[in-house]
Amino acid sequence: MSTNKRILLIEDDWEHIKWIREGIRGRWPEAVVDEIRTEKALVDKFDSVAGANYDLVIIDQAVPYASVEDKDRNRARLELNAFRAGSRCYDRLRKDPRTQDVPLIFYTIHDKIRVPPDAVYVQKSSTSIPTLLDRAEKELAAVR
Amino acid sequence: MTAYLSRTRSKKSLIDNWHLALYNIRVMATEVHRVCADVSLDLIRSAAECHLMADFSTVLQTLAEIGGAQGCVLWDTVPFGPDERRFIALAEYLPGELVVYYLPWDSITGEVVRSGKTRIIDDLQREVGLRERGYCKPFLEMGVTGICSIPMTLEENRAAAVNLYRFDGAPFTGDELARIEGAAAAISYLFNSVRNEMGFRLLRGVGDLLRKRGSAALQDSLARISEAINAVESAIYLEDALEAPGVYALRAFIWPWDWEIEKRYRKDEAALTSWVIRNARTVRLLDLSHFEEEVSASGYEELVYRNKGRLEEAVRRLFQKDVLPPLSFVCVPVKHHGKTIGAMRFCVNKARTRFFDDRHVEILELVADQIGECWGAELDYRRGAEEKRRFQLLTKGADRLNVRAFHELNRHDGPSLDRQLQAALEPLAEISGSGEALSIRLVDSSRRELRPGVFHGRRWCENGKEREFLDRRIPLTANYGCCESVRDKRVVRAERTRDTDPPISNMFPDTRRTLHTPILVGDDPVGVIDIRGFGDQPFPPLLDLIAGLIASQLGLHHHMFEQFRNIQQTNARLQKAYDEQSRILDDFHHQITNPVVKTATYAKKLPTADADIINALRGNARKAEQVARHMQYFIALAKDAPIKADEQFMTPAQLLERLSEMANDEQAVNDPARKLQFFVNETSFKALAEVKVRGNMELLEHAAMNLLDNAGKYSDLNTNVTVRASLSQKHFRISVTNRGIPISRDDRKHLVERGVRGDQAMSIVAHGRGLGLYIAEKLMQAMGGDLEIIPTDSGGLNEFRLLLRFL
Repeated sequence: MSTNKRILLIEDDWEHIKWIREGIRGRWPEAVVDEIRTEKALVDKFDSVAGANYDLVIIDQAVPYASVEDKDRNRARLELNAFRAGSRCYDRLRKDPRTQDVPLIFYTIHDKIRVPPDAVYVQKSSTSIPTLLDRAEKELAAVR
Repeated sequence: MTAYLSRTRSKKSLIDNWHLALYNIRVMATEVHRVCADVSLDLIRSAAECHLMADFSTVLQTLAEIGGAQGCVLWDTVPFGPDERRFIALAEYLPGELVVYYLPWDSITGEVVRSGKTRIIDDLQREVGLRERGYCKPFLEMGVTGICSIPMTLEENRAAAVNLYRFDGAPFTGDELARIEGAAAAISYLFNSVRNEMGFRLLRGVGDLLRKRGSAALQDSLARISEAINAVESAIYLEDALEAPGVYALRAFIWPWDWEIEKRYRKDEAALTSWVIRNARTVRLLDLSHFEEEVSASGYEELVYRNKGRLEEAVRRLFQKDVLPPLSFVCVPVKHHGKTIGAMRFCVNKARTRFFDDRHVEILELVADQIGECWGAELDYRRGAEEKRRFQLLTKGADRLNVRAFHELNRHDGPSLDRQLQAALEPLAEISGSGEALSIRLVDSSRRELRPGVFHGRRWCENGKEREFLDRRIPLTANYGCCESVRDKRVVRAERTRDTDPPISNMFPDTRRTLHTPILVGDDPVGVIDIRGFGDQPFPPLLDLIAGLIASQLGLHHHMFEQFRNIQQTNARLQKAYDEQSRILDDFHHQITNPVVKTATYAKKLPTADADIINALRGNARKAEQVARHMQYFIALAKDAPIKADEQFMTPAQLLERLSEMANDEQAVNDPARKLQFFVNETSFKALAEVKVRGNMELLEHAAMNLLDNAGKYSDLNTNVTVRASLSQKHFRISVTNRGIPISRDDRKHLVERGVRGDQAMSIVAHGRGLGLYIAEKLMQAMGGDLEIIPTDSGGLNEFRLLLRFL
């Protein structure tokens, strides 16, 4: 992997973000990591996300719809199950021709059964960061 | 022959005994030969060749020739009507047009009839006292020179005379007189013979024509009858009991007049034809010109005729004569199985005979019976075919309805009673025929009303008042057919009414009949079928039973659908409970696993740990402990198990210590980027140092942690979360205040319900199932305290209070 790869993190938990960033920085110091913390943020920024040419997207399954600082949070899509927000983000990325080939990894507390059947999956644990990074490397290599 | 006709009122036997009729004619000829043996057989032969009454002129021609005369008229006494002492020309043979139709009783013919002796006038012009009489003048103008008048008797002892007229001035000789008298004696028999021949031929001919059935057969038959009796105007009116009972519609007619013929009659109308139908009695009038005199003399009570003047004018124009012929009229009832189903009428004879006598009437009555039988048979056939069709519609409709119910039950969105009711109206509309507006209203038991349901039928579309109908509700206590049907649980049928159901009758003022059928589930009415009829066509027979069957099916389907819906609702509740539990377990799994993972992650860093890591480790461990207890309390509450709360006395100092720890822990697990600050106001606790708070530290700690956890999740960036103590008259209060998602007065009621989260809360935090405040309240109540939620104040501050008893 070249050192200037771009990675998108769809994750709401600041501690997990911190540890994933630490892990990526340790393995690929030059990598650029962006983060999106809500489903609505992905929807709102999708064009810029699609145009950013990310090399990898890491998705948590349970992310909120909007953030507390979002002034537009009253339009919450209450019928949407927050525990499937990651799957909806995954579908959106997969269906758009600009992002359909970007490697995606589900990184979540939930069981594998909760993520789309064809998705790459790593379960969060106290020892899972190296596993996540190994899997990310494999996905990036496959693209190359 | 008369006796024969009387005996053979059965038309079938009459028609079938045609050979007997021919035998009668031979008998008649034999009798004629016996009476006047010396008369030429030519007279008999000419009579035998007559098939129509008009042909009888050939007999009179033969008689004239026998007597060496150029004309011959058969004069009959008027057998009915106001003037029985007049003569009317029954039949004639003349070289020109007959211009005199009546002779007075004091005429020469009258003298002959009265005396019973033949009279000869050889020179009418010179006969003193005659030529001045008015009735002679037309004969003189015709060129009559001599008359030979011979008395005779027609059947039923009617006095008559046959007059021979000469135009050549020659006198009647003795030999001629003898031949004339001999032959004239046979005229009565021959006349009867020809008429009976005509009658039998007519009956047989009409019988043959009617076998074809249909309106063409009726028209052909009428033409045949009119030809046989020389009627100018004729018509047949018949009732179609299937389509329009009580209406006698024109089925066949011959109408030479320039005004419109009546298309239909009803029994109760003031008209000749209506009178005949109403009284089931023949009306025969000699001359409509003398209508009033005849009616008063013949006992036709309340008989009305309005077209006299118009008819006289029309006949003058038609015949182009100044002298009107007798406007004869006969109308006979048409019957079937003793019931009058119509009338057949004839008016104005265009040639001999000039009027309808008793025998004519008898023949016409027999023909009317034939027509009645034919029409009745056709109605029976149609009725049978219609009943068969309705039966097929019913069985198919009922079958379709059941299949439909099955499909409704299998629909993904569940069965719809309205769709099923709508479907039921289609076969009912087809079966009911005249039911052009059908509807079903449903019972709203809670409001004791009939509520709008579904409707069907052409009239609804034409009326365009569906919305008005749909919006209308009718109290069950109303005195309407539909309500009565529901109240009494029975079919309510009403004919010729507009008052049984004003809400709809007002929309359809021409409603003629209604049928209301209750839809029952067991013994409970759930709706009512309203079938509304217009026009003359009645509801078909057994419609009440048919509607009852459909209603019974609908009741069953209604019950099935209700049961199905109950099952669906139970399933939905179970599914919802399952989903809720599934989500709660997912959430618990997430919430308990996440701090455990983090705890373990921090634990690995312990060898190089700084204070932040230690705090984070402790905070996450507490979070895990909190979630575990959360699960424990949730399960207990779900089972309605009591939460044990051993009462302790807690000092504010103890509470301060614990709450400070919790605030620190919450601070440690919160994202530093959000810059939230958790404070415990120590002063407020220390100020209440003397108070002894009653409660349970473990439960209180859990309730307070829930409040701090919520504050951590839902507070705005860069704000403070403050914990302070206060005292009210009844309670020791621990308040947690923050700035974040606002809470309205309505929100605070719902936030403590199980599984309820505020809309905004759901949108900004993925995990959490709305159990925190629910459990906190239950815990506080288990300690004899409570949870109080204060709506957001004008400064944007939210406050949650834990209320505890104190000493």
